[in-house]
Order: sequence, then structure tokens, then C-alpha cells
Amino acid sequence: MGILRSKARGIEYEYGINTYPPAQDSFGRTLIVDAAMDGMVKQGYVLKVDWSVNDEVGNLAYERGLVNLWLLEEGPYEFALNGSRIYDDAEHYEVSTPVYRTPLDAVIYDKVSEVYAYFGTQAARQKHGKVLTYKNNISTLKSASGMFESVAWGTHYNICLSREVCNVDIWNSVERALIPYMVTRILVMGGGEFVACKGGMFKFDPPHSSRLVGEDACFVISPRAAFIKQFSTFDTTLERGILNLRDEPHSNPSKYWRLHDINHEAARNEFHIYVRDCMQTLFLTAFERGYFTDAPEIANPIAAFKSLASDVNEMKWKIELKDGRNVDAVDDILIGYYLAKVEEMISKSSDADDEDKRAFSLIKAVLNKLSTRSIEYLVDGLDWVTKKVMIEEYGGDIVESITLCNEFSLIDEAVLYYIGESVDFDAVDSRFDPRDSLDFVKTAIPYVDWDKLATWVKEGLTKSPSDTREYLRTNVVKKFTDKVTAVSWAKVYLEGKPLEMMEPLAYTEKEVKDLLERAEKPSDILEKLVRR
Amino acid sequence: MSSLELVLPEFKKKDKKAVKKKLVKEEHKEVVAPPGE
Repeated sequence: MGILRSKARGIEYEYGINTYPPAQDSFGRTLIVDAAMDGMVKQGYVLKVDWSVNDEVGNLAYERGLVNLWLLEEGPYEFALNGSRIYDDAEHYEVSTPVYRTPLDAVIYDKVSEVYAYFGTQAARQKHGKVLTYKNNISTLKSASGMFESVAWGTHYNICLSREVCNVDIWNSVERALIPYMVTRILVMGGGEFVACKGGMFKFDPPHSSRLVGEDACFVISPRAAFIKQFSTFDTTLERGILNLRDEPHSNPSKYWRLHDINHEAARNEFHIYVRDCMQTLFLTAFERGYFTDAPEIANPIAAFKSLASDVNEMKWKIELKDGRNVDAVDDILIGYYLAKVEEMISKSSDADDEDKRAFSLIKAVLNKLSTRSIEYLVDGLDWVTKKVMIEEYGGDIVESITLCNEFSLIDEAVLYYIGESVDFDAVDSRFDPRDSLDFVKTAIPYVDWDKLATWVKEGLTKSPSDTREYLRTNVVKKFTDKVTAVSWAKVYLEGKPLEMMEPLAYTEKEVKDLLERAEKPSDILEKLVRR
Repeated sequence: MSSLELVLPEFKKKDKKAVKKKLVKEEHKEVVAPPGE
């Protein structure tokens, strides 16, 4: 099957959405996000079925509270045709992807989320006039007092890992194995943005808040790193950790721990998204298989996280270890330790296939370029590099450079390129040009037929991956919509009875297509499907 | 080359990025959204 295809994963994308001029109040912003949600129902991309909030067991009080704040015309309805969940999360337009198992699907459903965000924006415009949507995780504003202020929201990656190796009882071993990786991976995965700072340092103001204030704004490799306060926490907003402790598997709870990785960052480049998925999946599988027990220990991970994120010009990328050594984040940690362990895993694993080996090559090639600091080879590939070069080329002041990053993140007509529509790129405001990004990825990853991406993304608007449980989940809901009482990530309630799908990689097209086609009523599925 | 490396990826060197000539727009100066996730 291959290692990459053996792991269930998905991403939650939060889009910043507001009118222009922007609504400053919570009520006004909620109306805008909810108009986008309503629009997705009216356009038929979201089905009129209830989301089972009671199944959000890891965050139940918050989830119940959310629904009460929404200002929707009807519903709430959140279940998209392709298995995504589209909802209003703290006044952000959130698209959580269906479960997938390949890096190509990571790209496809990422781009589908961008198109969904564009469609939602168009709907919100009908009610609220000019509405602008951004795929980023940070707002950095210059206040009337001349100070810069930054706040953050999330892009969360999720992967199902074995509960035997990932659970709260042995969290020390999880931290030991993964914190050095989570800190240093930003050199590949950083989103690149401006963050309020003072003398290169980040200061929360008030101290117990999640707002950064400074007289300057610094371009950093990873804006997310600036908001991290602790090693591990349950919280995602005030006391953000390098690792998140939420225990909500959305699958067999005795078998799986869904690692809720809250420090992913919004990215636009296909190459970035593809290689990020390869890296996360191979590295976290190596962790699961016990390869990271003696990872290098960083002396002060939180300080190192911020320092590495800020080292965008000199690119020294040095990390002090507990044993006193001052090592290179790429050569000694990412390549010297983690990638070497991944290589060992692939070499020894009978389930490794050519797709895994190609992914390994890709990660190694990127890390080799970073090792020599040859970032000029990664322009239009990695987001933070692309933005850094773009800012330098434009040559504006700080406020113009922040605006430039915002325009890179802008979701406008340009995303229609991803569903094969013609786009006048001179007329759009988005600084992210899919043609440049695709040109890069075609050269770097030639074994994927990127010319078909528009076809795949268009299909992905209405179809889930066929090789995960999403196939059964979405098709049952589509076939018996009027019999569906509610739906959640692992369950569809048919006339009140739960159809449980506790194995995220089962219930695929190959397994259940015939059963689904023959079923004339919900009980045909409920009774005949072998529960796993 | 490692035995695992089936394909060596190629990257094009770009000393500059093509940046649109037009100026940034006032309307994109501020992304006003609350913290939280």
C-alpha cells in the first residue's frame, strides 16, 4: 500500500473574511461569514443536513457555543458535497477538508477549499457589498498610535496515529520526539508574514493575551512561531503550544489518537502543500514506528522557535541543544537526525513503495537547498521564500510590504484558474499567480500530471476522495439526504441510527460501491455493512 | 545518490520574482479579523 497511503489526514483552513471598509465589530463580521455559509447552501455545495455537534467530543462546550452565535438564514448546515465541513469558527470562514491519504489529494482539496472560499465570498458580496477574503493566519495592523498589532488564527493539520505511541499518559515521549521537528520544520513549511515586534522580539500586550504589539513589524519565516507560549497545551487561542493535547480521534478511540497540529500555516504554492504533506506524513509515521526516541534536545524550544522564525536574512539557523552544542537546524536536525531516521524507516519497511521513495527524494532535495541557503531555487515553491523575494523585488515600506503579503493571500477570481476557467491576471489583485506556482511544481515533481489539476479540482468540488471513508460518508448522505438526521466526521445518522465509520481509511469505493448501489433504504446499509 | 532516490527533483534558479508592476491597493492594507481558532 505504501507508507504515505497508510495514513489518514486532513487540514482545517480558516479564511479571514470581511467587508471593505472592514466591519470592526463581532456582530457585523458574523453576518458576513454567515452570508458566505448561506451562499454555499444556496449554490448546492453544502447539503441541508445537520452537523452532529455532540460528536465533537474534544471541544464540545466550544462547539455548542459556536452554533448559538451564528446568524444564518436557515440551518445551520455545514456538510459539503465532498465531505468538507464549512462553518463559522470565531468569525473566520473555515473549510475543513475531507480525509485523504495522498499528497496529491492534499493539493487538490487545498485548492478546492480556496474555490469554496471564493464562492462563499461571492455570495457574501450579494448581501454586504465589497467582501474580501484572505488565506492567511495573521492580521498585522498599524494602529492610530503608530504601533503595530498582530493577532492570529489557525490552519490545523490532523493525522491519525496509533494511540499506543501518542496519548497523554506518555506525552513526555511525544514532546521528546517531536518538538525539535515542530520547531525546525518551519524552514520548509513557514508561511512567511509580518508580525508586530520590537527589536526583533515579540511581546504580548496585555501579557496574558494573544495579541502581539510592537513599534515595528518584522517579516518572519513562520508567523505562527511568534504566538507560541508553551510546549503542549489544550488551548488553541491564548496559550498556544508547540503541540496540542486535544483528544478527539474522530475514529476508533481505543486505536487512534488524532494529532491535532495547530501550527500549520496558510500556503498557496502547490509545491509547498505537496512537500509539506509528504514531510508530515513520513516524519510522523517514523515517530509512530519508534524511530525518534533519541531526537536532539533543544535547550529552549520556545525561544529557538521564535529565533529561527526571525532569522530570515542572515539565515544562520543555529539551534542550541541541551548538551551545549550549537547546531545547524537543517544539517544537524532536519537532515542529520530526522531525515536519516525516515531513510532508515523506508529502507527497512516492507510496505514502503516508489511513491514513498519519491517523497523522500523530494524532501531531501528541498532540505539540501536549504542546507546551502540556496533559497533562490525555491521561489514559487515555498511560500515564505516566494514572499520574501516578492517583498524585496517590490521595494516598498513596511506597510506596503504587509499589504503585498495580504495581496498574495487574497482569494479572488484568480482561483478560478484552478477549475479551468480563463482568468485575466492583469485585472485581479491577487499577487499569487497560479501559473508561476504550477510552472515550479511541474519541474520539481514531474511524475504528477499537473495539467490535469483543474479537472481534479473541479471534480473535488462535488466529490470526496474515493479511497477513504469519505466515499461512503458522502455518498450515503447524497443518496438518502432526506433520511439523514445528522452527520459528523465518523458517523452518519440515518433515521436516527448511527452508521459508524470508525476506520478513516475503510469504506472506500472499492469496498462499498456495490453495497451502496444496491441499497434502496438506509437499513440496507445499516444492516449489511460490516462494522469495523 | 541514496538507493531510495528514484527521481532527483530539479529546481529552477530564480534570482528575481516577477512582481506585478501595479502598486498595492489601500483596500488590502488591513486584514481585519479576530484572533481565535
